[in-house]
Amino acid sequence: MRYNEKELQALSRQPAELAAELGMRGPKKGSVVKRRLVKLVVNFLFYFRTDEAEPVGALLLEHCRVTHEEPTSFSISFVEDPERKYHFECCNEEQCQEWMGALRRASYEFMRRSVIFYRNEIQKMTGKVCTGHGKWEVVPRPGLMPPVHHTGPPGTVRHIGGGPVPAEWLEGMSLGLGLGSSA
Amino acid sequence: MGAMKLNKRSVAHYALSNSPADHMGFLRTWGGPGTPSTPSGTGRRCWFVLKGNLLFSFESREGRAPLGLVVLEGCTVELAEAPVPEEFAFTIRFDAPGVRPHLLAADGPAAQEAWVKALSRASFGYMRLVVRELENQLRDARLSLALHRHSSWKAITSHCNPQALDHVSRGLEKGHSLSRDSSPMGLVEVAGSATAGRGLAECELQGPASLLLSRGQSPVSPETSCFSTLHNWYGQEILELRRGWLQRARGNQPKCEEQDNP
Repeated sequence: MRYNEKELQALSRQPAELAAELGMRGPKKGSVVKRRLVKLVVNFLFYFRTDEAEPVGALLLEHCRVTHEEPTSFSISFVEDPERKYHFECCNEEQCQEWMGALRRASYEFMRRSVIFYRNEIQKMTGKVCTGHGKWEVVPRPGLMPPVHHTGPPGTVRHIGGGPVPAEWLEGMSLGLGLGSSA
Repeated sequence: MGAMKLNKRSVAHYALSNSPADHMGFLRTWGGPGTPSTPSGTGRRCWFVLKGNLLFSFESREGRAPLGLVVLEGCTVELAEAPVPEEFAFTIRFDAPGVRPHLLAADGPAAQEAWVKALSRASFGYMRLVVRELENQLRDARLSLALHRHSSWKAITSHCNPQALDHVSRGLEKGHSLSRDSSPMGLVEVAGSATAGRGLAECELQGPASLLLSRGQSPVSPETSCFSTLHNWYGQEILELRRGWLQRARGNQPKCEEQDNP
């Protein structure tokens, strides 16, 4: 399977959710613990030799299982082979818990479940399904960008500062409910 | 130095799994192995599946292994402009050194638009914003529900006999223990503790009633003719509210547990 390695390497240089030097042991039998700079960026876990700028490798975190191993270690495995584990050794239990929590949240699948949960809760509270209201202005540019709220010249993008989620954002999003795009 | 490692087996498994796809369809693609650097010919028609920020391509719909993966995080999607001769084409562009844009073409204008829209939203950061927005909406919905209840309470308590109120508020305290912290009642209670110090001197009340009375409402209206009738009438409404709270508290519990173990 080919993949866009250069772009993934560029992603490894983006701001990380979490980064630390940990002891890492690969899944192969007889592998030894090595010190690695481990960096969590979106749904990828990158690992670097401590003195190098390019990552040794990356783990896509979708469908991963994070397991607590002893007091200060955790492992990552994947659904198709749960016994094949990547081991990580932390300094203390606090760091271990911090990483485990962050890794469990670092997937699209987790976010999809959160969206479903919140939509259900909002519906229970208000009796309403999430609908779009409020204005979202898109300043046209030759390409198409996601709807963002901004006041700059064409092509600029500002951080979305709050306001209700337009229904159309949720429309195209598959939540795996099998009910079509709206709840 | 070797190529970067990736857990390809797991990635391929994820691609083929029944996890929801955000978009899929046939697209023509260029830039596969052995193809020239500029697009020529009609390209290769592949089946594409978009899951989150990952775009997989397959030989066919029934493909058992992905041909390729484009990690979309950080990309910009644009309609392809001249001099590309392809119809319904668009590019996926990255702000990375030495990286050529990926050129893709759909079968028609509707497909082109749908793909560009779907790919524009295919970033983790975007999804996080959606989740955060919904979190805020839920928080706001809870607050406004609590405030709404507060104002209903105000209407009730402003005309009530303090002893009757005390009796009623004790009944509601029982309701408290059944609701979870995240329910609207929890919020009212938190607000109540902040204002408890300002309670009315005339009567000692507990629970949400004290919150409302401490806001300076008059405990007894001179217009009220018969307190017992009034008490019965307000009591009914309170029983109704309590029933609603209990229902919600029961409804909340399984969902909250689910959320703890995603």
